[in-house]
Amino acid sequence: MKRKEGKHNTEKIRIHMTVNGRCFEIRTEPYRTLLEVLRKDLLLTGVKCGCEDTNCGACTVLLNGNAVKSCSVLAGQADGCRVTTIEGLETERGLHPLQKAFMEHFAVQCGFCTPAMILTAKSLLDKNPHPSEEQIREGLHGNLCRCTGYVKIVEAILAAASGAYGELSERNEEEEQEGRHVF
Amino acid sequence: MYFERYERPETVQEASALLREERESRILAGGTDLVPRLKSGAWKTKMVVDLSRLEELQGVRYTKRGLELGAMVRLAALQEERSLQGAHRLLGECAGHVSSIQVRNMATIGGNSCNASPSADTAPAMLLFNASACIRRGDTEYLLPMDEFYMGAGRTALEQGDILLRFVIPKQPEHTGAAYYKYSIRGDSDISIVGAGAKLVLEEGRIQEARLAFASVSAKTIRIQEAERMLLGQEPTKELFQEAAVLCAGLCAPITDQRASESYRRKMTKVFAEKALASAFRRISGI
Amino acid sequence: MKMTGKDYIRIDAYEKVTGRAEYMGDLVHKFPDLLYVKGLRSPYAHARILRLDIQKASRLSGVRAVVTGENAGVDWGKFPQQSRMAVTETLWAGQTVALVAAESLEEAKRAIEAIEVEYEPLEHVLTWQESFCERPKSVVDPKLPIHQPGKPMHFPYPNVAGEFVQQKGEIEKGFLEAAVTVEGEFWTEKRVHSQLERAAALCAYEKDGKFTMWCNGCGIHGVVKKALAAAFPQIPYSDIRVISPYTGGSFGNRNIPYVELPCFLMALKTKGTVFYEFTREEMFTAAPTNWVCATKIKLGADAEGRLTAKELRLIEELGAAAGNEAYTGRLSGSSTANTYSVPNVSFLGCSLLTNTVPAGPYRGLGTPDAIFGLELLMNELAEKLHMSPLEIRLKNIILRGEEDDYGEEITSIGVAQCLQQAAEAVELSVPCVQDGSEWLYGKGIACCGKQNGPNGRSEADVLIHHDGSIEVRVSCDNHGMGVSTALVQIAAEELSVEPKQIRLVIGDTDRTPFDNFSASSSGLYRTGGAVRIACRDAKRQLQEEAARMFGIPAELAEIRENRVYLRGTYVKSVPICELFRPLSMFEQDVWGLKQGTPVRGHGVFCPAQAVPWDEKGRTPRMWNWFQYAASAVEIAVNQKTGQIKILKIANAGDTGSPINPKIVEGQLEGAAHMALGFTVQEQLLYDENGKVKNASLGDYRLPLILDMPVNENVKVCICPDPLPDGPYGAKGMSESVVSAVGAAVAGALYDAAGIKADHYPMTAEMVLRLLEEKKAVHDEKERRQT
Repeated sequence: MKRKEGKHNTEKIRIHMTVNGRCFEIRTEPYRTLLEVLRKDLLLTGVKCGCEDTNCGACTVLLNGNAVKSCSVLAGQADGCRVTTIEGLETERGLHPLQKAFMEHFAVQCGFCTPAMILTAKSLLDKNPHPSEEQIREGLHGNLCRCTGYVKIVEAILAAASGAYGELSERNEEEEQEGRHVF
Repeated sequence: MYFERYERPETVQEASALLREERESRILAGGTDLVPRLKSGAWKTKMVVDLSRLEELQGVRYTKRGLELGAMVRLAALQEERSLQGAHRLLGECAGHVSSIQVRNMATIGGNSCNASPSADTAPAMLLFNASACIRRGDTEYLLPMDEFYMGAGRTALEQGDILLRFVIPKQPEHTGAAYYKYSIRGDSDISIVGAGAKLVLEEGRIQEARLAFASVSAKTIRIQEAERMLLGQEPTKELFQEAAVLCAGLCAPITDQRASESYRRKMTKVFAEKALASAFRRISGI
Repeated sequence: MKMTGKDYIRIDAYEKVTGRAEYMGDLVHKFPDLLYVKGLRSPYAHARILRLDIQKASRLSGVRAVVTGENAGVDWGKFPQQSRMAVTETLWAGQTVALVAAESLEEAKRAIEAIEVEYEPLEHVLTWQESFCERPKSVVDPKLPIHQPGKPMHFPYPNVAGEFVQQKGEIEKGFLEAAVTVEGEFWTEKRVHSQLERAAALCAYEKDGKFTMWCNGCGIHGVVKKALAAAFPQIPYSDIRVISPYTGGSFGNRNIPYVELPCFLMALKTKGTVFYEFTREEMFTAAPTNWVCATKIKLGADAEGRLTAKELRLIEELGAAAGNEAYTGRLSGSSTANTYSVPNVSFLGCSLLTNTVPAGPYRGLGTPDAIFGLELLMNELAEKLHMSPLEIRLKNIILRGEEDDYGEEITSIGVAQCLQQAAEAVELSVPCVQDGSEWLYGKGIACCGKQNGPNGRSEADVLIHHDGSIEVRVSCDNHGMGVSTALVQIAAEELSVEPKQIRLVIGDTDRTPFDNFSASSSGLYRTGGAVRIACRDAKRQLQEEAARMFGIPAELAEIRENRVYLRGTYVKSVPICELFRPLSMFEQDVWGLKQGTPVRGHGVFCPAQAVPWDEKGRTPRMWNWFQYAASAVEIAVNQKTGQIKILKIANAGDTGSPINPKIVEGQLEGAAHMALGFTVQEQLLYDENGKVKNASLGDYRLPLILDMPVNENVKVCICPDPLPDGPYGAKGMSESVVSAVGAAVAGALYDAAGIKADHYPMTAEMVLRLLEEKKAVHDEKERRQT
């Protein structure tokens, strides 16, 4: 059980979200961010928090397929939305091509930025399956990485876009699963 | 971060009522600026009113009045908007200069103006195009020129309870060219050191209308009207643009902060005013 | 079987790309009754605390403890400087004044706001320029032992904390022999490591009185546990367990347990489980930065370009590192002593205090700062002698087997190859074409060496189970560099098995053996050495077992690919599992290997200790070995804005023989990117109270993806000179490769625009000023001529 935050008389709000294909109904305090709900309530800790003020990009998730920085999105704003976190990319069919490409191209070092980097790249490729290097750079400048110098990250995304790690297109639709999970 | 209520009204009337009912309330558009401020404690509020469900605040369309741009249009959508005509395309370009794709996917054109950040990248374009804000106050709607909308750093003409519905942006004459340069060290993810916007309308080889608007070199987005006047009726030349740029550098009012010194900002105002004028001129079609 | 020198996929890659890898913040939900720690920080760089009232805060709901410097009941001298709380005076803006533990973070924050403090602001010094004088506005540590009577000082200044002198040959003679001399003064600025994961520690006060701490600090045994035991002597050593989960970068920052000790203190005070995580702002104001180096250098060379004399004064500006005698200028100075062979040397180093956050190690340990001026003066010498910057460097570098300035032998040095490959990669000898635009183009090159300290000891355990599965247990730091994968490759090679057969267990003081820390790029070298020894120990035990079973001498049994190959008996080979007897009443026998009890090999690797130096700073062993690098760049500089853009970068590293070349490449690329940040844009700025005013990732200009040249213009070159005592010839490599970029860019700036930078970061504003100054001089000359 989550302890009550102080002695406030806050009405909880009710949110419906589809997270990684599963439907959730969440009751939460109105002031909590999507980041907090994903990490603390749904235990999706692949979503990271590096700065709290939208600068590092480590908290990136997909909201209706669009990359957003979940540290500055209120949980309420995600009501009725489809949310994808890194945990949703691996399916029974295996890893997402971007995940495979990141592994094989050594695009991972400390790994703290990796989930966000992959998700940002996914939203980019979903809209533009064959981006140029320039377009990749333009799409990723909201994601900080202090380890890699980005060279192998760009390489991995280009490789995934080339289809070397499997078809990207068939991975775009998430199957909604049965049932509803109440938190 | 703490507040008591989060509301997501379905109609403007409902939103308006909520905002009037609770004076300690804040409007949430995209939240990319509001949420970090609430988290850091810089701002406190009791209620957050999320306007994302208000259909009336959506949409990009041309009407008799010109381009009507819903306040809740997301910057990423505006950046991709195909219906923008002629010089208005600059609005999409400016939207694309706001931070990263993750921020633009949430942030809205209305939010970018209502923040009244002196560095807002979409604000100079509003001034260049003589845009007005369509504001709902109480039960009435009125138009306020954007020149009067921005009052200072973080201050707008909006009062508690007001809702910015949309921008009305007049159609631009045929031979109009407009450009905006964002000068920052790390590209669009950075806040600008100077943002320089210029618009020129040409008739028979002479400048019939000129506008110069700047971000980050004053407490609010400003126009340098002396420089605009100086350009009027002149033949566009490199020397003329240089002269105007010198005026801009002299008349802007930058400060020294962690991003740049006052004197550097002035110098950059000159450099980028000139670039913006030259680029605006190049963009005038049919020349 | 060859498993080293191969691009084996990182063993942590799968967990990291799937989000399964757990970092500090991901553990929090496992502790339902967690308390949150928050610090109140001084807003002044230097102030007297007139009044500190915690009454109101202590009574707030959810608050479990409020600790001040005074009531903490600890010896602050035993705490890392960054975590020492102010008692009567604050020494930097960001120093902790009070600590709160509360049931939620919100309640902790509210309690912090409710603490009443009255400060009397005092004068402060923030830079070496303000501090390095006879009468600085602020004396940071009046109790510096160095100023005791009878101790003669070269710099009798109140903020000088330590000194180091080193001499070789006769410096005057050296300059007399010189055909040309050059000199200059140079310095750098403060920057922060900015690893993406913020510093955090979680400490559980267990029911049995034991403490378990999870943290992202380095050196779980040799730094964290040791520091905890020293600061809390009432706790038995055996009652402290330190665990390292996945950690999101360090770059030297987490070599100091500045969050672990306060966390432990609050666990002790509350007898609870507490979590202390810095905010990003605190990472800028309360976590260590680099130290600044200010150098004054004079070089002499003969007509052929051979160095004859090197005179160097170096100041290490350490921030408010009060009471620190370990720093004397020796550490940074070391990087000026190991690359060029100079017969006559005079080095005078000192450390200096200011009212800024105490500095700490930062990738390169002062090398990027210390060699900046030296490398630029090498360019000046070359220019005066009509040589190329490449030629003069190649002419002067130390050769393998020769001595450095201290008199110790250099056993591995690949810097010549680094220089040549970097130069080739940017076509250094081909001048840039100027296109008449507002951009000017230029190229530059520089090189450097970084020492590896002979401190530390690494141990490793290798467990071979009866089913053939293998565990390697180590405690080295694992911040993302890739050492874990390399260790597995080393073990696989030693044991002749596939890497996937090996499970690496890392980072738990109750389970994994001693390791000091992996500082000084030593993880692979030292822990790798221990793993090799442990593997051989395990193999020897298997050989002996086989020898007993088959009645042959042990050396006739060979262990590879999960089998024992035998000579001298009728059996050719058996699987290793057959050496293990089941534990049953008819089979167990009284000796030999048993199922369920693995063969346990143990390895200890400990480099030979340093030899104390004489009064001239000379010794046959000051350091251990050296990593070298050369960087070459092609830049564009904007004449109107002053902004530098890096168009091309070649980063060449003498890495020893790489265990995993792709991982090494990643280090070279990451280092290039980080160094570009150091060089052109990263810098801490202070307000009038001495508080950092760009304490966010928005305003502190960490380089982004756009600051890196496009992929085809990033060239990395691995130029190994095998290290005799390194595992398979490998050595550490990740510090030298950030260190030469600054001087390479400054060289390119001179090539492009004819302006000389004497410090970095070479920000747009600074470069524009230099361009304007140059123009003013030029205009003045023209005016006089007419």
